[in-house]
This record gives sequence, structure tokens and C-alpha cells, in this order.
Amino acid sequence: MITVRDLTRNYGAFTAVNRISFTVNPGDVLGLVGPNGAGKTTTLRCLSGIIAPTSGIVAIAGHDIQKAPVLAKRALAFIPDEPHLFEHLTVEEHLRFVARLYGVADAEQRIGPLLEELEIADKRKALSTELSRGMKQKLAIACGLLHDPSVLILDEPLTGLDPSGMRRMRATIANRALAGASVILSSHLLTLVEELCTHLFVIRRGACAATGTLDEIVSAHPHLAGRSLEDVFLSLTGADEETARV
Amino acid sequence: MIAAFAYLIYTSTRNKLASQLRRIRNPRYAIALLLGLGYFWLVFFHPSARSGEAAGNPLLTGTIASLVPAVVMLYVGYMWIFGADRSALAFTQAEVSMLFPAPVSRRGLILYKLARAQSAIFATSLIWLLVFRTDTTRLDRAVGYWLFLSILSLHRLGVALIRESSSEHGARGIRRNWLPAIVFAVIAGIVAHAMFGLRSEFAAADGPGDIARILTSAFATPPLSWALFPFHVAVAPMFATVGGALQAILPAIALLALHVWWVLRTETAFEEAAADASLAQAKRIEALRMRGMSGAALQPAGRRRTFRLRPTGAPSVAIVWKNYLWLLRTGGFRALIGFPVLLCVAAVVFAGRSETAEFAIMIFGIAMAAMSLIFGPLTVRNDLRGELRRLPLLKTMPLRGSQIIFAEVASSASPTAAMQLLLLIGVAIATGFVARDSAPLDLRLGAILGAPILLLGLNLANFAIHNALALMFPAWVRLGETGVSGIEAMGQTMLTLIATNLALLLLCIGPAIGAAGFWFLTRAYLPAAIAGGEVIAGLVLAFEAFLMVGALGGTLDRLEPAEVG
Repeated sequence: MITVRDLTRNYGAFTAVNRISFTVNPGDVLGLVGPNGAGKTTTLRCLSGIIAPTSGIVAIAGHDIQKAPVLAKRALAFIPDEPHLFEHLTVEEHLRFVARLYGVADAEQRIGPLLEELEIADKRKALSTELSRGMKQKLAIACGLLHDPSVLILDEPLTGLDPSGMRRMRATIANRALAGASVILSSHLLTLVEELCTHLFVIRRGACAATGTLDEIVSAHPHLAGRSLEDVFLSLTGADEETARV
Repeated sequence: MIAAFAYLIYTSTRNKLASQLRRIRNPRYAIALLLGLGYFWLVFFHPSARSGEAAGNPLLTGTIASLVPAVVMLYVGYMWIFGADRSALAFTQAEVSMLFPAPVSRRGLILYKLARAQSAIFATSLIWLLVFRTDTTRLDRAVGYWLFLSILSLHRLGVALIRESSSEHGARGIRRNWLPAIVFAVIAGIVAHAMFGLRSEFAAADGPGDIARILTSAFATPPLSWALFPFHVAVAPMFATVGGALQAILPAIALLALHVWWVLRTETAFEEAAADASLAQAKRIEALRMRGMSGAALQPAGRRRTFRLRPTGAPSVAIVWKNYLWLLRTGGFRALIGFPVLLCVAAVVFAGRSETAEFAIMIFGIAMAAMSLIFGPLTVRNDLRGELRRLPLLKTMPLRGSQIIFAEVASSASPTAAMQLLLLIGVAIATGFVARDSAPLDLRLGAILGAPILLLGLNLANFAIHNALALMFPAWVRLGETGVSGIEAMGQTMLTLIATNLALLLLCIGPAIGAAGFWFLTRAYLPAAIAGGEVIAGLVLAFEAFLMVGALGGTLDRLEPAEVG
């Protein structure tokens, strides 16, 4: 479970994220959407403990990420859009490294099926530098999933994946949510968001522009009824006004 | 085009300076700056410091001044024989993307490259002016440093271009650059011949001082003095007296002009070579962002060595395991341990056969161990300094900041301590066979028994300081291998060494008192006093490192990716 209360993050005088609140229950997938520079990455970084909030509370699986960071991070997997891997470790060694960090006692039993699931089993002896961009992304995802996190935070997870990989990845995210994980998914691929997310959080200029299920959002904005998610997104983020002005 | 280059260099330098100055708003940086300025004032500008200057800076004594051209020649020789660092040719990826497709001539690119190095050369000249300060602040001395660094920087670029040309065009490439190749070959021949002629004097030498005297005398006598003439011209402005400054500067300017002419006329496919070098550097930097060691190639798949990591246990061990694998796979372990092992083998082989060889082994081993303590952290960077570029990944690990730092520090400190221990074992063996410096066996055994703890503690403290500096001032410290490198970066390196070695000296006060106290109490049996003293000093140093890492844990927890850059 992820609980965010009045999360605010300032960079000097600039407020990147302004008093946002939401909850992601086990089994839910929250789509965090917004235009470039809206504050998505800052929000995700606060949630994963990379940067500290200026104020507000972030709780991961019941643990405050500021007060009990180690416990919170044990329950968490953050998969960034740009995979950060160690060039001198093989695929398999990356997973062993992660296993030790998270104390995954049955890692050997998990590694095989996980690599199969992500279609990189044949690359288990390859160094990360020998992998394509998509393979690297799959490895980063495998590292995130190995310890069976109860909270999954994904930033543009399909970047670099081929169509088959994208399909697999969508299934993986859905399966994790079905298994009870709380998932936050940030992506500009609105079809992906529409397909996977149970809830949406639309962020604009650091603040909440809309939140809830798609139906709840549309019922709060009747003029959006019957329109596509893209139209809803453009309307809520004000991008359609700017487009019209241009 | 020159206007565009000037604009790029000016705005980049201005923005970088402004960004560095903005850091001073942070109290931590402001305090460090004040401390640094205070230190420089005390050491170089305080009246009591100035009163001692009449005796002269030892660096400027005749012996040093006469040896420096030879050292420069060795450095230049190294560049010619083993190749100048190809990064001398490298541009940043942004420069390759923007400048190479632009309508810019090869000469224009080289000029840009030369001009771009100037900001670092100016900075290093100023730092040298402070560090090697003599009687008064002399502009001619600063010009001397600038000339020397510029000539060396140009030479590095020229050698890289020539080697590139010869590797691309074979003999034709060498023919195109026949003049500098012949000049260097002649100089090398003269030096080799002169050194061969001095072999009997070297053999009879009584210690390093005697060797320095022999060399000084030889360097001042033809034909060695002729061979060293160009190097003497390059360094002369740095050592010139007030009256002789102009006489020293003018030939150096001529040498600089000659280098500019040489580099600009070097015929080679510069863009291709530079693009290749840039790509290689970008890959190396990417790799070093991950780790921070030398850009050595990784072993191919079939020969990759590994060792198992149990999935349960202390999680921070995973970081040490990962870092050790890096050393194993990049040849770092071999580089660290190989020479000390050879030294030990040589000490055994020459046992009872050659006292001169054992004496040389002893001196060399001690010098190497001491050098590795001072300069080791500059080359062994298998720790947080390389890892900070990957801060977001570190911060998502389920570990406390102090656990991460300790694992990173131990990853560099433990192999360096092992290297030093092997060197000291070689020295201990050799000492037994040098009659004039022989120490009793029990004393040597005592020293070696306590050495592992002492060296580990010393290196933990030393690497903790270097990592602390990177963690507290990431904007001022070179992380991984990014940023300016080569001769141009010497100023920054010197400042780092001054700060870190001063800190290490401070950390050694407590352990030294503890060790001395133990020695005093147990001095009746000296071997035990030595071993115990070493163990106590090592344990106290390790404890200090542990406290430092504990205090820094919060800094890592609070550090944000934007601060690292």
C-alpha cells in the first residue's frame, strides 16, 4: 500500500510538487500522468526515497520512507525509465546482487522463471554492456521484481521494448497487481495507462488536476463524457488550450 | 568560426564558474572554502610563513631544478613509447554532435581543442603559484607555469596525433612526421647511452642522495645537457630568478610557438581519430560512472572469473562483492598485487646473492608503499567516488547510508592494504640481507605481524577521507573519470591531495599516541611492542574511519542527484 499525504517538494523558490495526496491500495494500479515538467519524476523520486519531500508524508507498506527508509525500501521496487546497470556484472549476477541486498533466500529458484518470464533467459551469462537497450530494460525490471515487492513504481517501463516485450511487460504488471502489489505507473503512453490502470492521478504544474477512476474523473467533468483518454488528458492538463492558442 | 568557438568557451567557462560560486551559498561549501583560504593564508601568506622564505623553497634548489627536465623527459618519453592518452584527442559527445557536422576545418577543431584546455591550464597555473610560492607573488612565475603546462598539453596532443597518423597510415604516416620522430629518437639514444656509461657510478652509489648527485652532475654535462636542452627550456621559466625571467620566458615562448606550428601541421584524419577517441572516452566515462576505476576492458565471456555470493547475510557485502568482481574482471587485482608479488619473489631470489639488489628492493618497496598511501586513492577509485554518479540507484537500495559508504570504502581500502602488505613483506625479506640496514628477525616478524591491521586501518581512514570529500563536495571533486584529465588537471589533484593528506595526518595523531603508549609500556620486548603498537594504531584508525562513515551516512541519505550533477 502507498499512502501520500500533502506531499510538497520545493527546489529553492520553485515548487515542483504542491500538496498532493493519494492512496494506492493493494491490487490497484495508479496511472500518474501529466505533461512534461508537471512534477511526475519528482513525485516518483520522493516516493522511492531518492529525494526527500520538503513536507508531507510518504508511507510505503506502512513505513514512512523518511523515518524508516530501510523497511520502506525493502517493500519497494522502483524501475526508472533509464536502466542503471553495472557493466561488469552479468544478467545472472545482477539478480544475485539484488537477492543479497533484499535477502531473497530462494533466489536461485526465482531467477530462472523470472528470466523466462521476461524473455532474457538465454542472456543470463551476458554482461549488461552486451545487452540491447530493450534487454537492459528487461533486466532492470527483473531486478525490481526479484524480491517480490509489495509496492511497484514504474517510470515509462516500456521504453526500448519491442512489441512482444511490451505485451509481456503489460502482462507482468497486471499479474503483479493481481497478486496484491500496489503499482504506480507513469507513462506518456495513454493506451498503456488506459489498459492497465485502475485509477488515474493527473498532475499539472505540481498539483493535482484530477484523481480517481476514469469514470469518476469524467463524471466530475461532464464535458469530457464520451471522449477519448487522450482528449481527457489534454483537457485536464490544459494542453488543448495551449494547442488552440498556437 | 573563431567567434563561435570563443563564445562557446567563454559562456561554458562563465556558467561553470557561476555554478561553482552558487555552491558557496551552501554553508558546507562556504565553510570549506573559508577553511581552504585560511589554510593557504597561514601557510603561504602569514608573516611567520613569509619570514622563513628567505631560506628559499626547497623545490627551487639547484638539485630539483636540474632534475625536473629529466623527469619531464621521462614523461614525454612515456607518451612517445606507450602512447599519449587518447583522451587528448577526445571531444565531448555534444562537441562531436555539434562541431563535427558543422563547416569547421580540421585546423579549426584543433585550435578549439587547444583553446578549450586553457581554462584548466590557467587554474592549475594559479594553484601552482600558490603552492610553490617563493618570495613575492611574481607574475613571471605564473607565466612560467602557464608556458610549461601549455607546452606539455600541446605535446600530448601532438604525440596523440602522430601515433594516430602512424597507426592509420603505417610507415607513410611516420614519414609524414619524420622530424619529431627523429628528434625524439636522437634524444632517447643520447640519454640511454649516457645512463649506460654511468652504471658503475650507480652501483657504487650510497643511497638516493648520492644517486641524485650523480644524475645532477651528468645532466649538466654534454651530451646529456644537449639532449635535455628542450626540456630545460620548457621548465626554465618556473625556476628563473627575478633578473633572468625574461631570458627564460622568451625561449619557452618560442618552444610553445613551435609546438603550435607542429600540432597544426600534423597530417592525420583528425576528425575520425577524434571522433573515435571521443566515443571511446564516452564509453569509458559511462563505465567509470558506474565504478570509477581505470577504463580497462572487461574480460571476454569465456574467461570471466567469479565467486559466489550467498543470497542471505549482511546486505552490504553485496556491494563489496560487486566491487571485487570489477577489480577481478578489469585486471585491477593483477595490477595491484602483481608487482608486490614480483618484489617478494625477487627478494627471495636475490637472498644471499646480491646485497645491492636487496637494497634496491628494500628502497623500492618502501617508496612504493609510501607512494601508494599518498597517491593510491587517486588511482584506486573502486568506491563511492565512482558510484555517486549512480546516486538514484544507491538511494533505492534497502541500506542505510553508512552501510553503503562503509562497503564502498572497504572495497578500495582492503585490496590497497593487501598490496602494501605484500610490499612490506618483500621489504622485510630484503632487509634481512642488507648488512648495513639489517634488522633482527624478531623485529621484522613483529612488524609484519601487526602490519595487516595497521595497513587496513590506515587505508580505511585514508579512503574514508577521500570518499567523504566526494560526498560532501561532489561539485568540487572529480567523480569517476569525468571532467578534465591529464596534465591540465594537476592543480585540482594537488588541492585534493593537500586536503586529504592533512586530514589523514590529523586522524593519525590519536592512533600514534595510542601506539606510542603501548610501546612505552611493553618496550622490554620490542617485537611485541611494535606488533601491538601497530595493532592498536590500526584499530584506532579503523574506529575513526567507522565514526567518520557513521557521521557521513546521514549526508548520503540527504544527498540529492542534482547536487552530484
